[in-house]
Amino acid sequence: MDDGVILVASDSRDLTRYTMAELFKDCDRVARCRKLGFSTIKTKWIGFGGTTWEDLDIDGELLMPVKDLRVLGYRFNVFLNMSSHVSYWLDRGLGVRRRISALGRRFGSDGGLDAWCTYRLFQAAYLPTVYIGLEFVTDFSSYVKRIQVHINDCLRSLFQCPMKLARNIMLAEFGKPPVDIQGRYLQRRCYSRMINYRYCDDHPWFGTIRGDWEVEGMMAYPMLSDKIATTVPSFNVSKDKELAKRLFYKAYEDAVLVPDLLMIYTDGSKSNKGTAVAWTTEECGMTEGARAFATPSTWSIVECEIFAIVAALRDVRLDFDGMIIIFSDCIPAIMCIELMEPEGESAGMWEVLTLLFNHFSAVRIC
Amino acid sequence: MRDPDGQLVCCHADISDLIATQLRPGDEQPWQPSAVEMDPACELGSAIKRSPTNTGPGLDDIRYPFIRYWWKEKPDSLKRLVHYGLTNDIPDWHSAEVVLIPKADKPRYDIVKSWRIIHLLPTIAKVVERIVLLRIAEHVVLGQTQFGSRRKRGVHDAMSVVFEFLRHNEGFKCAMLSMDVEGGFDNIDIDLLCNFLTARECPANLVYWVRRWARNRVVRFRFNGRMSKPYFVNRDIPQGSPLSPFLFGAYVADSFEPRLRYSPSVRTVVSS
Repeated sequence: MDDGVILVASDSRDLTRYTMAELFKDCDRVARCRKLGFSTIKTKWIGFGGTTWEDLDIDGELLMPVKDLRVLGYRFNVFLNMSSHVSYWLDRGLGVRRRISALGRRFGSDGGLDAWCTYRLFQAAYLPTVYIGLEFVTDFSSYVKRIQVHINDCLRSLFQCPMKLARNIMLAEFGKPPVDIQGRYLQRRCYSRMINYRYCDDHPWFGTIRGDWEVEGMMAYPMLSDKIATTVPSFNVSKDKELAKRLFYKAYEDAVLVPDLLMIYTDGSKSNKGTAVAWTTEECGMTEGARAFATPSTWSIVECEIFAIVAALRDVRLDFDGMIIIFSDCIPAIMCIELMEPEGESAGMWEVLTLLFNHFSAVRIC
Repeated sequence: MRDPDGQLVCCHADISDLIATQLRPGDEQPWQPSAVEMDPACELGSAIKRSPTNTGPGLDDIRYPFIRYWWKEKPDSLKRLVHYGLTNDIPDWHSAEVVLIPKADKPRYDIVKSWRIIHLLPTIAKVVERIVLLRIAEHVVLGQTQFGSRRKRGVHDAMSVVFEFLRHNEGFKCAMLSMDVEGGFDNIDIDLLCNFLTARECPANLVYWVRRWARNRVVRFRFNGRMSKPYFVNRDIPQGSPLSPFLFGAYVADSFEPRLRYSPSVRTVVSS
């Protein structure tokens, strides 16, 4: 609550250090106006990507970079890459597993097949440590696999029997196999997805999701309340080219007549050389703007298309309160937006998309 | 306990005075009854439900189980009391018993700064504060990267921001700086806080309520099995109230919002 984190990335170490020092001084200046302040004694910083970082200069006071920094209980170490960090965090779960085993042994348990308390501990201590503690990486399938393997190891170790047998016994005793419990936690991937949309309170679309998680069998659908029904974009998806063409011309005719109607046409393309996006914006039948960008070659066509929509919406002035119709020829991209599913590992774009959607009262995507 | 000059202080009353200097007590202010227009306490059930059961009671020695029982048996009378407290305020709700909890990893504990000053407020007052908290949180919009003391946000949300940033900027020279606010609840200026709340579109009646709530507080220190004389505090916000963390978050929100803009090749996030 009373501590903060500044993250800076740039293409040179000097620029990163300079920016970080300036940001720190800026935060400190504002805090001092409030009779508070940031103490340099408690300030620590870490530089990633090698250990050759020079000291941080804050008004003549030199702060040496640390090799190991703990933020909110999570450890960051310069010598570890992200994968190693996930392994380290999983090891915390291993510690819990050992403690559960030790508790079982202390009370005379040889395994825990019949130990209700082992089941409870597994559910209450281990799973939250591993799954909830690492849910922010669960959008990345490789990490999810590792977490799943870790959980399976834990089950085997705690119940001291093959997985299938453990599951059958749990099913017989509690009416719920462990895999169900795991599945329930895995559904928290929806949570990660929602984080990318940046929180219920800020985004009324998702206002009701998190409350649902308290219900057994957590299913996260983009539920809508009456209050916010008008801000939700409508979607027309059709593979019928004739129908799409008619929709386009109808919208075009409307755009000429109706002043508060904005048409956006987006397109993304991918070739062996790279990817690119382009879009045009038309208001009152007149082309307002047309732009194109080269995008990273690793992006898929769906990502390009989504980026084009985001960038086109970004160009629209924020106080525009009329209807916006977006035409896209990429059905998977439209479906992604409609179903609110992150495409690949580019979930960061969703944040921007949702932010923008919240600024406009009526958006229709065809 | 030692005073700032390093002199040993042994007497209970002197130690109390020494601790009280942290809260900068003032003179006793005459109680001026003032009403503020508030909506009926529809959130009462939710506020009681959210209250923990294992916290210490205030000077009135009423605990949460009793409040729950009251709510179950006679909800109307409780509603009336809470509504009266919301609109007119009750002097006894401003009285707190203060206990000291040692801060972790301090080299020495014979100075006041090594102890956390926790206010044990009347439980019913805390229920009312929770109601006000719900109302203020509905109106006051804080930054998207501010996580502390906010509902539906937690450590994992903050970590996900850090993780996404590092992941998104792979290949760049990334650095992370962790910083800590000096002071905290004890250094909050109520007038400034109210101005910030107003600037963040908090309704005037709630701002007035906060101003009234922070004034005329009476604290008594309890340590070594004895209670001190009352001290009158007219500033800061009490550490131990459910409302305080959110108000602190609103107070420092601007400090964590980056105002500086750089070239597109520099990416920054400030989170708290």
